[in-house]
Amino acid sequence: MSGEELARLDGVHKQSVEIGRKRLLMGAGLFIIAFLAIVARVGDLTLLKDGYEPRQAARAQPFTASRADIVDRNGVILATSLATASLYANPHHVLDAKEAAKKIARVLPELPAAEIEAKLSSGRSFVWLKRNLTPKAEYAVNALGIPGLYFLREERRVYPQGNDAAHVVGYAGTDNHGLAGVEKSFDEQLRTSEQPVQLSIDLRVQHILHEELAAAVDKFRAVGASGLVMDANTGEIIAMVSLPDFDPHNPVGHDPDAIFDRNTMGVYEMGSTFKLFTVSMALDSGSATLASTYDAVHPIKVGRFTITDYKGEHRWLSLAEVIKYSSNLGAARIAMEAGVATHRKYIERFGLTKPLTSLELPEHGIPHVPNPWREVNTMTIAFGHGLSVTPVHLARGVAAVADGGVLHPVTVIKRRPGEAVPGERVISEQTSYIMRKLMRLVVTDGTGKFAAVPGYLVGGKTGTAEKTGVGGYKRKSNLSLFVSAFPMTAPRYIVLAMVDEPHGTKDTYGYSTGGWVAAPVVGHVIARTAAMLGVQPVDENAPEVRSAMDLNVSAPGSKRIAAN
Amino acid sequence: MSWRATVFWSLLAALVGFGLFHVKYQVQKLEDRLAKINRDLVHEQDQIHVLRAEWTYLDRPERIERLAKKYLDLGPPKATQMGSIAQIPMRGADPVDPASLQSSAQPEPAVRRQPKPAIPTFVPTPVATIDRSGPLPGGGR
Repeated sequence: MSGEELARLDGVHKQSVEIGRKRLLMGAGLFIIAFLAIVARVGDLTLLKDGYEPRQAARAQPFTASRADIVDRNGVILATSLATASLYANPHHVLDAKEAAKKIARVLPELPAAEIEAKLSSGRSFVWLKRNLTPKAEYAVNALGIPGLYFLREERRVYPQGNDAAHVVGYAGTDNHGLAGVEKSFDEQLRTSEQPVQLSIDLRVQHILHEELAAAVDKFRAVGASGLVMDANTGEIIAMVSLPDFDPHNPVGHDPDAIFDRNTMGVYEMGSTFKLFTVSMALDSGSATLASTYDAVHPIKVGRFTITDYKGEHRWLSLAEVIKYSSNLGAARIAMEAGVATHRKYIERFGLTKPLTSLELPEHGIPHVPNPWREVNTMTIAFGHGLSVTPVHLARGVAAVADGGVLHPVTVIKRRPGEAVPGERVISEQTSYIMRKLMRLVVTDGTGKFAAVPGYLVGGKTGTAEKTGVGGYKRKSNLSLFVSAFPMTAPRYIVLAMVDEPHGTKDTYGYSTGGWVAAPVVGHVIARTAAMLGVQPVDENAPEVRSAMDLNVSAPGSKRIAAN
Repeated sequence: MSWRATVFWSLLAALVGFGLFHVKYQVQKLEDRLAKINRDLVHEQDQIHVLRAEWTYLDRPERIERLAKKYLDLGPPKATQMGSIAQIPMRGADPVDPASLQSSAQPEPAVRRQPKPAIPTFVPTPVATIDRSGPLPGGGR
C-alpha cells in the first residue's frame, strides 16, 4: 500500500470514526438527560415530595366511646360507655344449623335452642343472636368454633350508680341516643365531645337523700316521695331524688309513674310552705311589719269556700305566730292586706308562674296558675292552694327568701369556681334577714321541730296539702312536705322533702302532716350530709348565734313578741 | 484497570444492595413492633376504661355503706364530733424549756429564773387552714 493510499484510507476511516463518535456522544447525551430526569424525579419523590417513610403501623387510637361520660361534681362516674360484643350469624355460612343451635344453647342458656335453630335456618344472610355479650360468654362462643358466627363490637351505656341518680342522669336507648334526663338534654354534646359532662350532683348526698326518702316511703306506706338539696348561693342542684324510681339499664317496661320525675315534672299545691312567700311579700312591700297582728278567730267565707285553720289557736296572732303555727287565716289576711296585685307581682317575681327554663333537663312541669286571678285566689295561694308548682320552683323561691333575697337560675351542671352566678333581686336583704329568723322559729318552736339538727341551725317551713282528686280535695290523701335552709345564720343549702300520700303510724300518733313525715327526713339528711357539704357546726347557745336568730334584736320598729 | 473498576463497582453495588435490604427488613421489624405496641396500648386503654367503670361500681355509696356497717364500728358523724383547726389550742408562745423538764427531778429554781437567752422563741404558726366556706371538700378521686 502506498502512503498516499494509506493516508486516503486513513482519512476515510477517520471520517467514519468521527461520525461514530459523534453519534455515540449524542446517544450518551440523550441517556444522560434521561438519567438526570430520573435522578431529579427520584430526588423529588424521596426528599421533597412524600419524603417520609410510608406509615405502615396505625397510630395508637385511644379508646373513644361514641358517647362521653357523665360524672358528678367530684368526678365519680354516673354514666359511661363500655365496649361489648354482639353475636350475629350469617345462616348461609352455617353448615349444620341444628348442631350449631344445640351447641350455642349450651353456652348461652338464656337462648332456647329451637329459637336459635329457626334463626339459623332462615334464608337471610344476617340474624342477631344476642346483643351485648359478657366477655366470658364471648369467649365461650368463640371456643365453640362454629363457622358463620360473628361478633360485632358494640357499645353499651352503663350506669354504675344504678337507681340512685336515675331521674337526673336519665338513660340512653340501644342505638346510643339519649332518651331522658341529662342523657337527652346533652345528647349532642355527649356524642360529639370526648369531654365528660360534669353535673352539680354530689353522689354521696344523692345517695343519702335517696336512702332517707325510701325509708320514709316505707315507713309511712306512701305512694312516692321526692326531695332535693340545692346550693342556695349558686342555684346548683346537689342532689335530686324522685321515688318510685327505675333502673336506667332497663327503663323500658317500667311503670310510667317510676319514670316520671316528681321534682321537675310534677306540679303540686305546696300548702303552707307558700306562707313564706306571703310573709316575705308583706314585709318587703311594707304592708306588714313584725308588729302586725291578725284575726285567727273568725273563719273567712268567700263564696262557697270557708277558710279555717288546721289546728287553730283561735286568737289574734302576730306575724311571726302566723308562720310559727302555720295559720291559714293569718296568711290569707296578710295577703289581702297587701292586695291582689302586689301579691301576684311577688309570686311572679319568685318565679312561681313560669317553667324553669334554666334547668338543663328535658322534663319540665308548667305551673298551674289561676286565670283569672281573683281575690279568692290570692287568699288561697297565700297558704299554698290554687297554684301548683314543681318542687324545684319551691326550693328556688325559698333559696331567694333565705339567702339574701336574690333569685338564682337553677342548674344541674357544676358551676366553675369563681364563675359569676346570675341573679335577680326579688326581696330586700333586710326582709330576707327577718325571714331567716322566722324560718328558724318554725324549727325551734313551731311545726318543724323534727327537722332540728343540733349544731346546724336548721330553719324551714312545713307544708301539708290535700291532694286534688275527682271533684275536689281528697280528705285523706296528703302531700306532706318540708322545705328548709341551713345554717340559718348564713343559709348555704336548701333541703326539700316531699312525701306523697303518707299514712300516719303509731310513732306519729296517726299524723301524716309535713311536720311529722317530711321534717324528720330533712333532719336526717342534714345530719348525715352537713359535714360533707362543708358546713361547720356552731354552738346554738353561743351569744352571737342567739342574737342573730333573735326576732327582737334587729327588727327595727317592731314590738317585742312574746316567745310563746 | 477496567477489571478493577468493575470489581469495585460490583462489590459496592452488592454492599449497597445488602445494606438496603438490611435496613428495609429492620424497618419492617420495627414497624411490626410499633403496630403491636399500639395494639397493646389500645387494649390496655380499653381495659383501663372497663376497670374504671368497675371500680366506680364497687365504690358506689350503697356498697361502701353496707360494708362499713358489716365490718366497721363507725356511724355517721355528729355535729359534736366536728371541730375546726382554730379550736385546737395553740402551743403557747412560750415553749416549754427542756431544762425545766429535767428540773423537776433536780429542783434548781435559781436556774429556771435566769433570763432567757436571746434566741428567738419558736411560735408555731398554722401552715394551713381549713376553709369551710369554699367549694365542697372533694370526696372523689
